[in-house]
Amino acid sequence: MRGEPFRILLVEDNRADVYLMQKAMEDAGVKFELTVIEDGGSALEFVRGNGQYGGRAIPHLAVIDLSLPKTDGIQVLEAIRATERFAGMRVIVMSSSAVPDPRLKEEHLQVTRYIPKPLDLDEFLGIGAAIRGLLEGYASDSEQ
Amino acid sequence: MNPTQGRISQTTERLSLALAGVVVIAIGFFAYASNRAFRVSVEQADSTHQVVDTTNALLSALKDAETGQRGFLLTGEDRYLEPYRQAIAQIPPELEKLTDIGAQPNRLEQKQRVDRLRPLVKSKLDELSETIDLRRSQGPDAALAVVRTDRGKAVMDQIRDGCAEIEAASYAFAEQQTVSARANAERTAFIAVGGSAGIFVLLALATLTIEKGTRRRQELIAALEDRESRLRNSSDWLRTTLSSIGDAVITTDGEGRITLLNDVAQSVTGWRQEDAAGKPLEKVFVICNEDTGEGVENPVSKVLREGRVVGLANHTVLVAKDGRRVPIDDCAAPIRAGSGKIDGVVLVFRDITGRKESEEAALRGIAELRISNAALMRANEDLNRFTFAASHDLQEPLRMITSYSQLLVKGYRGELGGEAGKCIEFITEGTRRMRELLADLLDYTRVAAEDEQPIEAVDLNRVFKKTLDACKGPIDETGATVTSDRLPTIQARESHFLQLFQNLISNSLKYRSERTPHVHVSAEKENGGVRIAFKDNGIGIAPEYHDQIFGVFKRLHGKTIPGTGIGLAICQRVVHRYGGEIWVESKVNEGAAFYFTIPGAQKGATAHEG
Repeated sequence: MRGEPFRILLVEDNRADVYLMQKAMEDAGVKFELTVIEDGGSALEFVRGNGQYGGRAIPHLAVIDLSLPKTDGIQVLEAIRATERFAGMRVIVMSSSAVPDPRLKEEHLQVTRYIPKPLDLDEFLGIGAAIRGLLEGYASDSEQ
Repeated sequence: MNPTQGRISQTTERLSLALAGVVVIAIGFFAYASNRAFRVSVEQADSTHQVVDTTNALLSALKDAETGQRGFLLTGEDRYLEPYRQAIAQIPPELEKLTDIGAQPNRLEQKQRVDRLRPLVKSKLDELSETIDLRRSQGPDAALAVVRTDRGKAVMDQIRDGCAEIEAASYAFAEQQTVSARANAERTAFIAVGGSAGIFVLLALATLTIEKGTRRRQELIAALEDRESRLRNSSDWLRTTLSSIGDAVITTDGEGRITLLNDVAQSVTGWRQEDAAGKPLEKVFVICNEDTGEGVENPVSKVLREGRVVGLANHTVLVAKDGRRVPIDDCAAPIRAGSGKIDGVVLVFRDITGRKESEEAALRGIAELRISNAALMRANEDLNRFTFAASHDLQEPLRMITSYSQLLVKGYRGELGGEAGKCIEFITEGTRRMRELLADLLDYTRVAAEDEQPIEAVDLNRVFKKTLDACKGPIDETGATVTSDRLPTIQARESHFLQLFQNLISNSLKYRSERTPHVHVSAEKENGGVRIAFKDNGIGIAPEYHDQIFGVFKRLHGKTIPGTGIGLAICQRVVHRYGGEIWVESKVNEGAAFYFTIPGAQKGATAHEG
């Protein structure tokens, strides 16, 4: 098990969901260092390394909610894929809609996983385990 | 009776008459010819008698002369010479007579024969006178010696032969004439009989033709009389028809002057027949454009000019005698005489005030309907969109409430006692129900939404199977048996029919009686479509609720049976989307049978037989 926490970027405007995500990951025993950005505009700043995000480190995983005020999740994802340093980053896209946005299927966006936000608490907390699985795969990739 | 026929029989008549004339002339000609031939042959018979008489007279005179000569030679007495002298005086005229007897052709031949006879007679007479002279000068012996030479006898025999020849020729010629006269007579008789028969036939034919002609003339006269009376009737009939017709009718002559106004025309124009008759049409039938008031060309002048049926332009009004303005609709047509020449115009028109009003009212009604229909459709769409958005967006805060109340329960299970625990329980229960309601509402609005799923061939047997899988939980729990006949394949969206089947089957399981639930699905062809039935043995539905159970959020039962009350509303929406009907047949405690129809489903589908 690695000692360093995983850097996780969470783009989510609903604080209740941020809290639940944190809880889910904690319950799953994921060690993480969370950067939360609450709107699409700030997320673009982060990707471009502007202003306060000048010295940011590349996250191991980004979790992006699709429905964001102003700039939506797809645009953030486009910006991520357009930035060389972020090109290989894993991205989980979440949405409260049961039907995935058809644009997510486009290949260049490289969506690692699409997860509709579960209505049931236990199912929601189950996302923590899914994230842990992804990160463990990531850790073994980078250790090679 | 057509004229060609008449001409033909007339020709026949004339031909028969001409033929009869020819036959009569022929009979006359041949009768004349025959008569002439007969006369010739009779004349010839006469001349044969004359020839025989003359030759006999000639021969007898010669004999008398010879007898006289013999007497004198023997006696030397002069008295014997008297008959001799008489005889020789008689001989030359008889000879000449012979040459003049008979018909022309044979007279010439006879003359030649007489000419051959003449020297013989002379030689005989010479012999007679020579012997008489010798008796006188040298005595009887010298004279008798000459006689004894038989010269005289030989000449006499020759003369007899010549005469016989002349007689025979005359007989032969007469015979020939008689034969030809008989032939002629026979031919004439034949022609007379044949010709008479021919004339009889022609006469019979002519009689028949004449009789036929008479009959025909009688028929023609009868037909003419009949036509005349029919014409009289039809003109009465026409007058009656025109006056009882519902439209206004005006007729004019070839110059456009009025000849007739029927009752309706009189009341619409305000003119009476006796005032209008003979007036030019434009005096009585004054028309102008409804909107501009400008005069409109009189349709009758147009008909007279163009020789065809013409109609009025729209929005034409008639200005009546009293100034009333009546909207009319009309057409005018030429009246043609048998020769094709236009000898009048008939104008038919009607007062369309009532029609115009009802048309306008109908148009207003249609426009209003269209507006309210569009408004309704818009409202319906808005409502659907609103419901969808609401049920979708409401899920987000609902999820929050659910998650955090669950979190509370999870984290403080031991610490929340009494009142607080009960409150959390109610919150959890309320949110669960709300979640169900929202999910069903979403399903309900999605049925109406135009989704991307294509219409395809949907095998309802497959849908049934999938439904069984989806309802496996409640089926196992209740021990239900769910069966189906062979079901058809229809053109539809599969998701719709999955919803329909699931709702109907889970409904049957939910409202089960104490018996083990049984649901059977069957299909029947009906008017080119299919009718599908779901029959169960559940608690049934009282007839008074048969309609309202299909309404949104309509429930007949309290919390004892779970449900949002939207399942059957979704079913109805699906069926209506395919143009079908859904209904239930049921009584309390006797199970329920839900039926729905999908019209036109058999087209390109394999509906189950029987």
